[in-house]
Amino acid sequence: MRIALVGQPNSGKSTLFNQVAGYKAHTGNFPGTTVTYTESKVRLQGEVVDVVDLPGTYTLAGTNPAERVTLRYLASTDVDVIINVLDATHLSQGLDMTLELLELQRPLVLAVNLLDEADRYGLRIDGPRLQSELGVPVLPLVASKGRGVRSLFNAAFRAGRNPHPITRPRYGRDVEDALAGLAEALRGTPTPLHPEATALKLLEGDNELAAETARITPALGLMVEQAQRDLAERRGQPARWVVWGERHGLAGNFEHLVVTQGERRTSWRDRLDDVLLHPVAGYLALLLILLAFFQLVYATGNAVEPPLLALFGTWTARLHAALAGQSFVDAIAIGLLQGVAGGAAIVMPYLIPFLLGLGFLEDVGYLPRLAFLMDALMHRIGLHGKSVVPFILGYGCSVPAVMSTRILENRRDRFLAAALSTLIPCSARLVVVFGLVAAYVGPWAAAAIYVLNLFMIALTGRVLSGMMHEESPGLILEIPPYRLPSTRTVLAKAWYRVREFLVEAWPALIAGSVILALLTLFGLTPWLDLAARPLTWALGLPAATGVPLAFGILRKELSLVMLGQALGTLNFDLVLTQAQMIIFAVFVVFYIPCLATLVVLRRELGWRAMGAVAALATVVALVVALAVRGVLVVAGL
Amino acid sequence: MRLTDAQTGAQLTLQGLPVDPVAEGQVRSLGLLPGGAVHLLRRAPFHGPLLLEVDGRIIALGWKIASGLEVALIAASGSEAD
Repeated sequence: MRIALVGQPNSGKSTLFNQVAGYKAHTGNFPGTTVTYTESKVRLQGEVVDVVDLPGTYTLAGTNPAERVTLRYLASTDVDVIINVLDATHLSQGLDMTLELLELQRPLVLAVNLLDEADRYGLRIDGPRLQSELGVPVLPLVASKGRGVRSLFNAAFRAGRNPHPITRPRYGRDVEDALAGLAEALRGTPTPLHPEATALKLLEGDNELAAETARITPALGLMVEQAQRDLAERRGQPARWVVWGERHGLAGNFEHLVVTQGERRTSWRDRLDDVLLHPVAGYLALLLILLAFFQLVYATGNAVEPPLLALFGTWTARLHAALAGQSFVDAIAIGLLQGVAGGAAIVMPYLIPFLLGLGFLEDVGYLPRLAFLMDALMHRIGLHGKSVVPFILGYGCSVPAVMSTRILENRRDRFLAAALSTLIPCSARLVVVFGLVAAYVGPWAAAAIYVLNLFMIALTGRVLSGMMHEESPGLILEIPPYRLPSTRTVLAKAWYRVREFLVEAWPALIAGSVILALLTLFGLTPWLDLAARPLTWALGLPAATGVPLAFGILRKELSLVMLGQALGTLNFDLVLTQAQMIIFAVFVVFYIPCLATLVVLRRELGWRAMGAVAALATVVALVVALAVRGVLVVAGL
Repeated sequence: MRLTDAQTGAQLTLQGLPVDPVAEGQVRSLGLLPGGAVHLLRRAPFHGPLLLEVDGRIIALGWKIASGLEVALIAASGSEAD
C-alpha cells in the first residue's frame, strides 16, 4: 500500500512524515522547504506500507515545479490513499486544496494539524461536521508532539484497504455545464487524472495537461477554448478566475460551518514582528541576530578546536614513535589519523554549532522575515527576497542551497540564485576561514573575508543580471507564524546534516588524507604541486599548497586538513605568513564548488549551467585572490 | 488605486490579478482573488515588499507585483502595525 502526504507549505506535513519515518524529510518554518518527495517504509497494522512526503503546495495548478511534482505523482503513481494535512489556523486556504484533491476522486483522509496553535488563536474546529460535509474521514492532529499520528495512519490504512466512492464538490451551474461537456468529450480518452478533474484543470488553463490531451484528442483544444470563452462571457471574468473563485468560495463556506472563533490569547509572537519587521529596528535586529549567530559558531569552535588538535597532535607523535622504521605503515596510519583529526578537531567544532543555529532560525520562522527585509536589497543584484533562502542555506551547505532554488519560479532566477549561492562560504569553507584565518590572523580578518564575499556576490549578481535581463514576478511569499522550535527537531535536523558529513565527506576526507600521505611517501606530490605551480605562484602561496587546493574540489574541508598534511603540521603559524593564510582562504571560499555541488547543479540546471557556474567561480576566485594579494602587498603584509 | 498607493493599515478589496501568468498563479494560490479582502499591514523601506493579511494569513508581496494590483478602499484605518 502507498500513502501520499499532501498539504500546503508549513502545514506540518513533513513533521508528520518524520514522526512515522524518523528524520528523513527536510522541514523548516519556511514555505516550500520540501521541494522533492521523500519515501519511507512504515509498518502499519502488521503490513509494510510506503509513505511518501510530497512537496508542500498551495494548489495543484501545476504553475511551479513543486505543484507539478505533486500533481504528476498523484496522477501517475499508484497511490492507494492520500492524507491531506491541513493547517487548523488557516482552514479555508487548506480546504481550497482539499477540494482540488476531492476532484481527483481518490481515497482521501484529512488531518487537521496544528490544533494547539489554533487553540491559542481561540479557534474551535468541528471535525465531525467537516467529515459529514466532505464525506471523507477527518482526524485531529498535533504532528509536532506526535498526537493523533497513530489514529490518522490507522484511518488512512482503512480508507486505502476499503476505498469508498468519493463525491467531488459541486460548483455553480454554468461551471458544471462546461465541465459536463468537456468530461463527456474526454470519456474513453486515457487521461492522467479522473475525466472530470482533467476537464476542470483544462477549464482552468493547465497548459501542460492541455498539450497532453490535445495529442490524444486534437479536437479537444477548440472545445476547451469555446467553454472558457462561454464561461468568461457569462461571468465577466476569465474562466480560470471563475473556477478559482468558486472553489475559494466553497472552501470559505465550509470554514464558516465548522470553525468558531473564541477568545484569542495574545502572546509574544503577536508583537515580535513590530520589532523584527520594523523599517529601522528590523535591520538592526537582523544584524544582531546574524552577528550573534556567527559569534556563537566562532566561540564554540574556538573553544573546542585547540584542545582537540593538541590531543590529536600527541597521538600523532606517539604513533610516529611507535611505527618508527616502518615508513609505509607509518604513512598510512598517520594519513588515517590526520583525516580523522581533520573531521573531529577542525570540522565538527564549527559545523555542529552552525547547524544547530541554522536549524533554530529555520524552525522559529525567521528566514521568511529575512526575505521580506532583504527584498529591496536583493533586487539590486537582480534577484528578489525569496532568493535569500538559498543564500542562507548556502552558509550551511551549497547542495541544499542549489536544491532550494526550486522555490523560485523562473529559470533565470534559479540559475542566478544557484550560481551566487555557490559563492557563499558553506560550513566546509567556514572551517577554512575560521580554522585558518580566524584562528591565526584574528576574527576580524575572518569577518572581513565574509564582508568581501558579500560584496563580490553583489557585484557578480549585478554583472550577471545585467547580462541575463529578464522580467521576474518578484517576491510572493507567505510569512508563517513564529513557532517555538522543538529541541528534538532542531537536534534531529542537525544530526541529519552531520550524518551527511560523517557518511559522505569524512570517509572521502580520510581517504584523501591517506592518498596524500602515500603521494608524499613515494615522492609524487612535487609533480602535482608543479602542475598547480602557475596558480600557487600567482597567488604567492608555497608550492606545497597545490595538492590541497586540488583535493579541495572533492570536499572543501579537505583543503585545510590536507594543507596541514602537505605542510607537515597543523600549526599553520610555522609554515604560512598571515597574508598567505588570507589569500589561501579567499581563493578556497570562491573557487570551483565541491563535487557534490557540481553534481546537484547538473541535476537541477543541466550540464551547461554546471559548467558555467564552475567557470564563473574559478574566474571570481582568481580575480579576488589576486586583488587581495595586491592589497596585502601594498599594505606591507 | 494601486495597492502600493494605499495607506498602511487600510482595509481593501482586490480588483484584479497580476497580468503575468506566473505571478497570477502564485498570488491566487495564496488566497488573493478578485473581490477578496486585503489588509495592508506594513511596508518595507526603499520600495521593498508590502505585508498583507489575507484570510488571516500574512503575505509579503514585492513592490513590482503590488504596484500592478488594483484595489478599492473599504476602510482607511485598521490595526496599524508600524
